[in-house]
Formats: sequence, structure tokens, C-alpha cells
Amino acid sequence: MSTMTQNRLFREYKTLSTSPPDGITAGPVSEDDMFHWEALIQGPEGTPYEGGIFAAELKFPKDYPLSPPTMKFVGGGVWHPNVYPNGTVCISILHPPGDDPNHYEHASERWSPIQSVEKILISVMSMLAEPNDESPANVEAAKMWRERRPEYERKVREEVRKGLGL
Amino acid sequence: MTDEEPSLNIPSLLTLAVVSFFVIRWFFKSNDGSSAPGGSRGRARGNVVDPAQVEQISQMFPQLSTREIMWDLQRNGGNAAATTERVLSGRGLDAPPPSFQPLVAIPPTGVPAQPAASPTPSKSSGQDLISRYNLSAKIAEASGVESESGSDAKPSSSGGWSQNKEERQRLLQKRRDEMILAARRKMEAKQQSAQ
Amino acid sequence: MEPTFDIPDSTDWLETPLTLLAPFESFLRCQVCKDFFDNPVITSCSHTFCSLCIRRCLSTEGKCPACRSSDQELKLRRNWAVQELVEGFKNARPSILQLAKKASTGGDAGAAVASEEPALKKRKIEPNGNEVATDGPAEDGIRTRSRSRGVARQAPAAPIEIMDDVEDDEYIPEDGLVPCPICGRRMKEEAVFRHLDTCTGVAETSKPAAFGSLASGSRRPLPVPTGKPPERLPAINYSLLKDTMLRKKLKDLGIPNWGPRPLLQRRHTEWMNLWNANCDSRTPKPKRELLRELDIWERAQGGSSVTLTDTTSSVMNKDFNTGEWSANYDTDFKALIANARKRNDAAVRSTIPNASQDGSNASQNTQSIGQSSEATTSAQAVNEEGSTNIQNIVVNRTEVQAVTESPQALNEISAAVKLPSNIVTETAVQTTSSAHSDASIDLRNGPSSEAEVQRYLNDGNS
Repeated sequence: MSTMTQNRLFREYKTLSTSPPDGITAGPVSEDDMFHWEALIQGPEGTPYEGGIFAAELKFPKDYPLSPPTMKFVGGGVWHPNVYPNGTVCISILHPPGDDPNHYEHASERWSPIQSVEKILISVMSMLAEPNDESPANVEAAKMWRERRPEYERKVREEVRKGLGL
Repeated sequence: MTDEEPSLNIPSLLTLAVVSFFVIRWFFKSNDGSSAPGGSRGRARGNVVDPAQVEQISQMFPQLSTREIMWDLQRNGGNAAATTERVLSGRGLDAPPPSFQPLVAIPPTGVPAQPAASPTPSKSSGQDLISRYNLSAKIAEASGVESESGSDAKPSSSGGWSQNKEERQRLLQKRRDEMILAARRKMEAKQQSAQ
Repeated sequence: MEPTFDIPDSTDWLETPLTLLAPFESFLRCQVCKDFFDNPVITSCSHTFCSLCIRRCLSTEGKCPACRSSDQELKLRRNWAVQELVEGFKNARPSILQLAKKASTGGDAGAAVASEEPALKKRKIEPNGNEVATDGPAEDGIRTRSRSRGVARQAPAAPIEIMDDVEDDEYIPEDGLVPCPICGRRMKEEAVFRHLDTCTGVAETSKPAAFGSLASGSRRPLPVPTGKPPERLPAINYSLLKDTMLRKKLKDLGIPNWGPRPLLQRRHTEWMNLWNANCDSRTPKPKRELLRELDIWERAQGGSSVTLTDTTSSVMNKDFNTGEWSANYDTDFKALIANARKRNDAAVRSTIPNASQDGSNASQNTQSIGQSSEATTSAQAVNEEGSTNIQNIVVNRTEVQAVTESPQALNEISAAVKLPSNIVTETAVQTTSSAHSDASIDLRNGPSSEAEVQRYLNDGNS
């Protein structure tokens, strides 16, 4: 299992390096520990996150890909309804599958062993563009997003600049 | 003397029993108290469900959806027996509300299932990417280069792979740095034009 | 385990003119492990995965990872066509890739238009046909090694069964006997039905299972594609089994049965997956190989400090098959004896006390010899005692000195040690700290073990 898991992670690393999707850079912090990755995501255009770069760490379980990794924004986190104040990302693709009779989250959006780091990061990018208001991880941010959108966008832009050291 | 002994013993036994009762109660209470922080954290976002229990119950009652089981377990505080009882009594389980999101502790992974907003942000909090990746030197360097070569500094995304381990590590770091620096340059340009 | 990091991948084609082969190759890869399909099976929803991958998925979730429709292990069917495709492509891959890379560096013509590529590829393969067939696939090292080792071990037993089959084919009309439909043994027609009641499904010529505990049929020495595949393990409803029952079950299967209950369940599930996936293989691995994989899995889970339990328990068993054990570890054994002789020839008495003080390797060496000497007098005692404690070892060490002083005694060792020193070797290695557990695993696993023992002994000598 461990070799299977490590081989798979290594393949994903290779794929992400040789043909990286736009605005995404990801790889292990050190190849000695393939279970700990760091990723950079570009803020999607046309959103307050535009122009920003967001760093996140991914931690993979030993039984990956049966279980999903966890993802956490580092360096101050991200002000977003679906990101906990400590940076942990709350998004359906990172949730282990289970029955969901009420279709709150489509089963197809959830984690499955055929998902990949690339798909996670792309989902997170689109999450930045379109917050999911239904299950806020950061209640404050969700409230601000819903009720005081200009203030929310201002705050996000400021954080984006701060993140780039400007 | 021998007659007296039992009569003496009975009340002393009784007091012993009462005392031990209180001691045990106190013990368990204090136990609860000590685990209260964890509990209250759990309660803030619902208790974390033990997947072993979920599995156990779903094996007993395959007709139930894991979501229902999680919901019930979460509401009764992870009491598998109570859930089993409930199903057996024919009451069935309530359908969880649409917003219910099961929090599963993943034991085999050892990944702590604590996304529960630990209010203490990591020590790197507030740190920007430039200081995180030690890029300040490169910024100075790049700004000099950029004024000459303009938009030529676009990183070549291909060839991000090598057979050599150190080389790979270096390439990855290079791509990371370039991504951050490019974004920073763009942002700077935007700010200047806005002014 | 150190993974080999030179992993072929579908993106290899992106650097060549044959970029269209990248999607093609990714279709030949399992979506779960991203490796080429290994024993591909098809689900009832018509998705194909490696046998082991889909079994692991189904045992955790019960759903197809691709479309999430419910499925059961029992409904999986082998997908031979895909397997042949994969094998064919894997064989051809290195040479195509090489040619393609040459083309991309060679000339500008390499920048071919996409529509030309299929034709280009065909032209390139044909002249190379012979080479392609002999070229080994550049597969990841671990798999290849394990597979080839499995084959090598099976080799000696192989001809026997082949001959059986050949005989059967040739002599059918003459002897008037009927083959048993299960094990293929020939017998009189009226005897077949009686025989069927007791038939274990294994041809008589095959070796009995090494660990004795598992039902036979597991170690078919030769993978005969047309033969009856090894029996699959049924799924267990764990909630119906008590702890003791589950432990017994694991023991019966020949896998470790220590640890807390959740671990037992996961271990059993993993074993079941490994086993049943192996049943899908055209060339099933021997049980020992599977045990090794289970061990790797176990260590990847993190919580296993004890890795030798299976062997230990089988050694300590009352019905432990000593004959087979000594046959299996004969080489280790001989190496030990040879080394003991060498040591005696050198007759450097003073080194032994020194060695016992100066290092773990040295002291381990003394231990194993020490125990061998004990074995000459009381092999049975070691066997029953199970764990030898440190006091014992200290006592033994003094015995070693005595033994090395007298050549006669040493001869005694080499004569008497034949059977028990297997056991002794095992226990000796085991009693050393867990840091050496890797070495002891090697010891069990065969070929490398001799060198391993040699190394330990040499360390002691120097």
C-alpha cells in the first residue's frame, strides 16, 4: 500500500510538473516525505482574489487515494466563506464520500480515489471565485460576503496585496 | 468482643460505600470536566463521528445510509448503543438536515481531524509569501532585470521535470518563486497605473 | 521501503512528437493507482481497474470510484483484453519512446502534424519487431522484482506438473482411467466419486504449503491458466464475530493476529483484498510474497513494531513442520555452519570476549552461535521456551567459548544443528533489537539471506 500510495503521489507530482495547469504549482516540500506537499494557487481572474498567490499545504493520509488529503492555506489564511480562519479548506471534493440523500453536495463532487491533486486545486480555484454559502466555514466572512460585499472585496484585495509583500 | 465486631462493621461498611460512591462520582465528574474543552469544541461544530462506529452500525443495518447513521451518532454524542436501540425499536433514524456535514475522524491516517477552527493561528500567520520563501533578495534583483527586459521574464512552464532528485527540487522551487515574483510584478504595475 | 523514483508516466510522450500517445497511455492506466493496469477487472458498471485497487475501494466504500454506483467484489470479472493490451504496450513502450525521443532531437521533421503521427508510429515499430519482443518493460522496480522472484522460486516445481498434464493428454485412450475434475489425478472411474469427497484440489505432486496452517490449494506451484484458480476468501461480517473468533480466523489464515480489534479487521480486509486480487492474476504469487506485501502494508499503517509474529507463531506451533522448515532455510543454515567452522579454524579465542563487548553486530553474532550450541543439547528447550532472555544469552556466550575450544563440539553442532538451527537462527535474530527486524525479514525471504548471515558473522570475526 505504501509503495502504491507513494508511486501514485510521485506520478501526480510528475504530471503536475511536466504539464502544469494554469496558475497552479504543486509538489512535495521534500521528496523524502511524499505525504506533505505545498501548492501555490493563483487567484482567479474577475474576482477580488485576482492577482494574488495563495500558498497551501496538503497533507496526504497513508491510505491515499482511498481517503482524501487535507488542505490548509498557510501564511495568514484566506478570507473566504469556505475557509476556516486557521486556513483549512472546506470543500466537497476534500470530504470523504458518504451517502448524501438530500443532494446538498452532489456525490460526484466528493472525494473518490480517481480524483487527484490537480482536480482538488482546480476546485479550490473555482471555490475562490464562487463561494458556497450553504455551509460556511468562516461565518464572519460568509456574513460579510452576503451582506456587505464591497467591504468583503476590499478586505480580500488588501490581503492579496499583503500576501505579496506589498 | 466477637459479637460486637459485626455490629461495628455494618455501619462502617455503609459509610465506606457512601464515601466511595461520592468519590467515584466525583472522579467521573472531574473526568468530564477535564474533557470539557474538547467536548465544547466538538459541540461548537458537532461531535466528530468515529468511523468505526459508523461502520459497525452500517454493517448491522445495511439498509441505513451512512449519513443517517452519522447524523444520529452526532446528535447522541457518539453513542452507538443508543443508535442501535433506536433502529431496533423500529423508530428508524431521522433524515439529517441538508446542511448536515458529517465530521469524520480518520483514524488510520493519523491526520488530526481538527479543522475545528482552533483559534490560535499558526505561527506563520500574517507572514507574506515573500518572507516565507525568502524572496526579498530576488525582488531587488528582479526589479533591476525587469526594467531592462520588460515582459520577457515569463517563466517557461515546460521542462519542469528532471531525473535528478535535487534538480527536480530546484526546478519546483524555481517555478514557485517565478510564480510569486511574476504576480508581485503584475500587482505592482497595476498599483502604479491606478495611482 | 525506498520507492524507485524513475517512474514512467504518460506525460513522457509530451516531450516527443508523439503527444497523442499521452492520452492513449493514460487510458491503459488504472485511475486509482495511475499505474498500468495490473490484473484488470471490470465492474458491473463497466469500469476497469486493477484488481487490487478496486477491491480496496469496494472494501472501504462499496462503490465504484468512477461512477459511484454500488458494486460488490463478487461481481468483478477479469478483463483479459485489457491485460493483453497493457502487456503489449508495456513491451513496446521503451523502444517507441526511444525512437520518438530520437526523432524529436534528431531533426525538424520531428515536429510532425498530429494527423501524421499514427502512421509515423506504425512505420517505426515494424522494423524493430524483434527487439520489442525481448525488451523488458521499464516498469517500476519493485513490482518487477517481486514478480520475477516469484517465478524463480516456482521454477523447480514447475516441470512436474507440466509433465503430468502432458501425460494426461497423451495417454487418455490407453489406461481407461478418468482424471479427477478437481485435482486432475487419474484414477478408476468408480473411484472418482469417492475421491471427490476428499479431494483438496491440489495435485499430489505439489508441495504442501509452507506455513502448514492454510488450506492447501493456495500454493499451486505452477500457474496453469486452465487450472482451477486458488479459492477466494469470503468476506466476513466482523460485527458477528467475537474477538477470540476473529483472532482464530486470522491465525487459521496464517496472518498475524495480534493487536486491537480495528487493526485485526483492517488487516483481514487487506489480506482478503491481496489474496483475492492474486486469484485474478494469471501468474499468482506464492503466499509468502503476499505475506510480505501484507507486512509492507502493515508498516505503512505505522503501528507495527512487531513484524515477525507470523513466523514466530508458526515456529512455536505444536504442529510446526520442522522438515519443511529446515529444507527452506537450508542455505542459511549451511552458511552458519560454514562460518562457525571458519571461526574455529581461526581459533582466536580472545576475539570472542572482545566482540561481545564492542558492538551490537558482534554480540548478535555471538548470540546466534551461542544459541546454536545450546541447540545441540536442547533444541527442544529453545523451541518450547519461545523467547530467550538475555540471561540465557549470557550463559550461552560462555558456552560458545567452551565450544570453540574443542573442534569436536563444533562438529557436533554442525551435525545436530541441521534441523533445529533454523529455529535457532530465527529466534536469535529475533531476540536482537527491533532495529534488526529488516535483516531477519530478509532471512526469511530467501536468496539474500545467506549474504546477510555471512555479513553478520564477518562483522563478528573482524
